Amino acid sequence: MDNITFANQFLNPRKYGNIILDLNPINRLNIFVALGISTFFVNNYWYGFALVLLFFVIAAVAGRLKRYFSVYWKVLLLFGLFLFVIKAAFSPGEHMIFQLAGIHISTESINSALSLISKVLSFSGAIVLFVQTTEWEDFTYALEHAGVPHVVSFVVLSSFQTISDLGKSAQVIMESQKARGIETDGNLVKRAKAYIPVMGPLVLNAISSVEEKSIAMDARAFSAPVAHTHLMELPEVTKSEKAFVVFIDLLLLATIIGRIVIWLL
Amino acid sequence: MAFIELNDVTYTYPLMKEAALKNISYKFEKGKFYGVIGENAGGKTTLCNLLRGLVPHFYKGKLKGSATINGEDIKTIDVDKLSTQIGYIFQNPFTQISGVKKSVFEEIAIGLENLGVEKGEIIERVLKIAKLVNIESLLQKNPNELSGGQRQRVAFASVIAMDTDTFVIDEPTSQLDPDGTEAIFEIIHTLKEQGKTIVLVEHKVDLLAEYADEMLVMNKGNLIAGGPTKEVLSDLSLLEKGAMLPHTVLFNHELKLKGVELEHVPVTKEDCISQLKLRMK
Amino acid sequence: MKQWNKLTIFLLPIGIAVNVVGGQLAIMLKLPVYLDCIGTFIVGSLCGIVPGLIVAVLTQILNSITLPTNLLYIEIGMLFAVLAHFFAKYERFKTIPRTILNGILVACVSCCLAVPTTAFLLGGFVGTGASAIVTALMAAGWSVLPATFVSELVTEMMDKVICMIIIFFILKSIPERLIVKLPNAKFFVKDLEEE
Repeated sequence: MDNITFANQFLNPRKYGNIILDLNPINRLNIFVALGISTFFVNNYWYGFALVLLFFVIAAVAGRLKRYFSVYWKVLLLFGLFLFVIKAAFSPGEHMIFQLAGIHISTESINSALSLISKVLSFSGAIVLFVQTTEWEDFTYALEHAGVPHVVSFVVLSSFQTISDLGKSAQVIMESQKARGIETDGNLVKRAKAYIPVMGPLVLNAISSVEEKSIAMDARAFSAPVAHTHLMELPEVTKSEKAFVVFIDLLLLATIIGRIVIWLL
Repeated sequence: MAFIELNDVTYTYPLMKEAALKNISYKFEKGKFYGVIGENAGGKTTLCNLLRGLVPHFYKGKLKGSATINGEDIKTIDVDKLSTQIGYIFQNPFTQISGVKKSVFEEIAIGLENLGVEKGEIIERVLKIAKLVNIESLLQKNPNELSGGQRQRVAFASVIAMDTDTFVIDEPTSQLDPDGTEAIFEIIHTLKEQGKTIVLVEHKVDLLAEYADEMLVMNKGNLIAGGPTKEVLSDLSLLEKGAMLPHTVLFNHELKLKGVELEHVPVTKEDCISQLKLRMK
Repeated sequence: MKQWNKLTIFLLPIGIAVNVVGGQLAIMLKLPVYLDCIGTFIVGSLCGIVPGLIVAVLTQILNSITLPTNLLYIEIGMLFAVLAHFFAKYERFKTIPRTILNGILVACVSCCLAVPTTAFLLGGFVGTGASAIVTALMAAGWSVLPATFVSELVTEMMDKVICMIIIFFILKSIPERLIVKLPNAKFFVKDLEEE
């Protein structure tokens, strides 16, 4: 792509041509989190499992199924399987199915295990799905657009870069420590001893770069008392999108109220 | 009236006993190109920080004497507003990349976004600057994956793009090869011709001799010489105080020892060559 | 509101990254501790409560990207930020013995906060090394609350004491000329002249 074409991309708001990806990031977060929270107010584990399935469908529609699963499988394994087993084996219950030493599986314990994991899995799914369908710079743009100071965008985006930079330096320092004969594997004491020579310089270097970083960003008018413009923009939110978000939020509200009413009666 | 006026300025960093700037008085005028030379830790960078208002506002510490920028007292000046009037570029290329943008194009645009420039104009200006600084091939690359020299040019472009009236530039070529260095000097010269005021700290005194209108020489926090480039650089006694002088000046000195007298001390190559030609006739 | 200290803004991403990378390094070296709150304590003690809170919250949000249940423990990091500020204020980072005491205190407090969440919401399961201890204790007939408490206290105690010692050395090594520009300078630098 030549530079002119590249530059002209910025003239129009960024569009992905996908119904999920083109939702405004804040609205997408709102919808997913509302769904994720609703699971705590519906007293039926099938609802939670239905949401888990729905999130897979949404990920597929967004064309992010692979990315979604690459993170979500760990949640499935840890909480879908392990948590289920522990909960089923140790929760109290009367209708015993299986008993051995401290382990006692009952109909009640299986039910409470299913209920718990359906909640954890669906809530986690909502968060993972949001992250895997959203570019951070789009999200921070949307936040700024909604009135959040641009310092917040900077801190969030800069954190990612700093994590990757520090991660790389950690690797480099560790290699050089190895070359100087400091062991980074072997017994626990040796490994623990390797931690400080890596972490110390890493943190101190990062902290001492902060002065220049501040001056450099200041030189780019970072805190200039002027209204900012944006090179990259997102499309205006459509009325139907707004309506849909309100609809979802009302549904959540109704669910919560319904739950409280049932609980009171 | 002078644009920046320093009157007997003495400045000490916090927790330090010795002053980093001692009794400095100088007048900077609009549209001129000032070169600053001197030994390391001689106060050059502190001088830059003063001109940018970072001393005393950011660095705190004690400032005595008076300094005014555009008639405003530096002690009460609004540093954030000053950042929209004076561009500042310094040595370390790594801390000058924001780390929040995915392409050099967007990196250069940050300053313009912060100044509230309209999108169409941002695009125009970024493309223009990229051509000027010769980094068009980098525009679409990730700024966090560039080499030191490339980052230095991107940082330079990012500040130049903001088009402030004054630029304070502290060793912008430390990571560049001779060709790259020459190119940066030419850009700075172009800026000067557009009427910008430039203060440039550099070790490469031969290049400064060609372009700068006035020279300042710093030593241990003192301003030991300051004035028109030719006068300042002809003074051989500066050598003893840690300043470097152009090769032509040293060459002239050698000639003198061998009994060859030129009309005046040449500070640039061209001057030297033309005088030599005159002598040979 | 007073204008934000500029250096503080740029220390926030570093604090967050130090938390994350510190934790990753502990995992990489297969250490039985987390070491994932060093950044929170450093920023909290050098810059004050609010910056510390921002670091703590953002770190936990980032950790939740891969394991959303981490969000349930967000208040613990926030408490660390507050503690860090007061540790700095009352000079609890001045000597090694004091630092170790800090570690024990932090471990106890964080344990009391974490245990109810782990025991009641997640049935004793956090998905870390501590879970193995819990499972073993429960299999031996312990009930969920004491089992979770014991396992958490053991891991937390080791983790926080080591953390505090690392933080002690880092704070000691940060040059004073940098510290004087930060909001909590008065807790670290003696005879600081106020303008």
